[in-house]
Amino acid sequence: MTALLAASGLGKSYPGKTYPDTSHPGAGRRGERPVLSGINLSLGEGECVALLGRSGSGKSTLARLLLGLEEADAGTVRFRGAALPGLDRAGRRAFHAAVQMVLQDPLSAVNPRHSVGRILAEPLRHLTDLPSPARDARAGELLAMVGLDPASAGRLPGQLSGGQVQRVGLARALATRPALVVLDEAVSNLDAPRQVEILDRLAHLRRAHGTAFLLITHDVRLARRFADRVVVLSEGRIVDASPCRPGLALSHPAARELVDAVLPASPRMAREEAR
Amino acid sequence: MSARTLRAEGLTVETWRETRRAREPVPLVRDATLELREGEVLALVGASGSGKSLACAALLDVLPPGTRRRAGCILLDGAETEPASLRGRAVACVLQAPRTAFNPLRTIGDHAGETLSVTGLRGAAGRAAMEQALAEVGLGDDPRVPDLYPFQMSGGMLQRAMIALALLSRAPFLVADEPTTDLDLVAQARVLDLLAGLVRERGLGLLIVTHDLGVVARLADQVAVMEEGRIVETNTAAALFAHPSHLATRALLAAHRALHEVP
Repeated sequence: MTALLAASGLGKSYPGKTYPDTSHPGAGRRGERPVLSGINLSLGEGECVALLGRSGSGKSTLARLLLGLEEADAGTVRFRGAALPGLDRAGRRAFHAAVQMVLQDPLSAVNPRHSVGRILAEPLRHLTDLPSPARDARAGELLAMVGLDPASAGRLPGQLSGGQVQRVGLARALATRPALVVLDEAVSNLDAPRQVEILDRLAHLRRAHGTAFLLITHDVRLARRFADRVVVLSEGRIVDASPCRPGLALSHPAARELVDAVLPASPRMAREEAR
Repeated sequence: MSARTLRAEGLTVETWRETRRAREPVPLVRDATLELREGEVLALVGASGSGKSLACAALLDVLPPGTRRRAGCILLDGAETEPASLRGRAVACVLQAPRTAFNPLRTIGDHAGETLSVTGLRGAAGRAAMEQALAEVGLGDDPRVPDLYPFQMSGGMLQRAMIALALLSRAPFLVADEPTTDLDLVAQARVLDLLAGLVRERGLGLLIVTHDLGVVARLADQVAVMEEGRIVETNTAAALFAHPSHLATRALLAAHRALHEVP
């Protein structure tokens, strides 16, 4: 079966160095910082995969490559079997309608001067053939889908709370009925009640529409709760992978570090662990 | 000498709505009382928008424009004190977003110099104090750290640097508003370990604002739960987890526990 989205041998470097200097001698041209190398990742239709890694491990760069927002230095990304750079205009439009993304910082991901309704209509205008009245109807439907009052279509992002704007971002990503939604730390900064609420909503959407998800996170709890399997990224490489059920079986030190960093569920456990 | 305390009593913060006739006050924090003791961690928890950060801002007298403190007082060791005179002396603070809390055009050493000028330490003594503070937060191994600009450091390093600056002030109390929310879990665990160590070893009194009950479980002795600007429940961490009494506390705990289990 052809995968929905597949990366093979993906590599990417950015110019410049970071502090502390972690580039390996001979890793590339002078001043080149390898961010990703040798990434093989395949997402099936309707599948839910969590990409787990620390800040700076290359998660967001990988997401940008998968969405075609940036070009890889090495390797290819294939959408339903067709390599991304080879897509024609119609192919690109179909790809963008099928693969959508929600970003971490919701306020910077929307135009503060556009009403929520206009924000939701934008992908519909560019990526679908819906006429204007149908677009408005769809916007109302999307707001209800993410648990927002359809009347909020007339409001500006600044008039909503951070959690509400994040749901607007989610509604926008769902507007074109995508086959895959990439969530780049899209729930990490919300409080626990909102995280649980949004993940439950997404799980419901998944059951109803067969949407695939790539959840990018550093939080093992979110990955475990939401995904079918977990892929661990460390220093630009995939170092470990495991299905989520019956339980995560991760052994790489970078993966263990993330699992061990999960805070205790209750104070009693905290004390026992400290002993 | 008895243990030092910092108490905010009956803090009330409001904003206002302009109506046709008059200015109508809108309460944001209502009659909030918080008591910090040396060597103890008090966690202030609540959903987003419950007024946690504003209560801290009122305690530090750094309320944002458009809000004002209408009532309440700050007591240091039982004596009423002007909040502005406490800041940087009796109370230091650590903010959520380390990247916006530093001046991007200044090095870590420059920032330390500013803090040191309040404490009156200069020259070699100041340099030594800075090096000691950086060593205490785990940034002492690399001699280049004082010369780094914020953009050259990761979020976790910046947050450690901010804690080092707080230590430099020698303030016995520390207010940390969501200090680990922007960090990944590994960096978060390290910063929390660091804070726990400082409370244990230096007898720091820590007020930590968080929406994450995992942080409370890891660190807190006492917990105050806030909802719609009111403190609705105060208890020891163990008792709060075992017997939450208020609805808001139960909702937070239910979500927290749901994240820990696999559906």
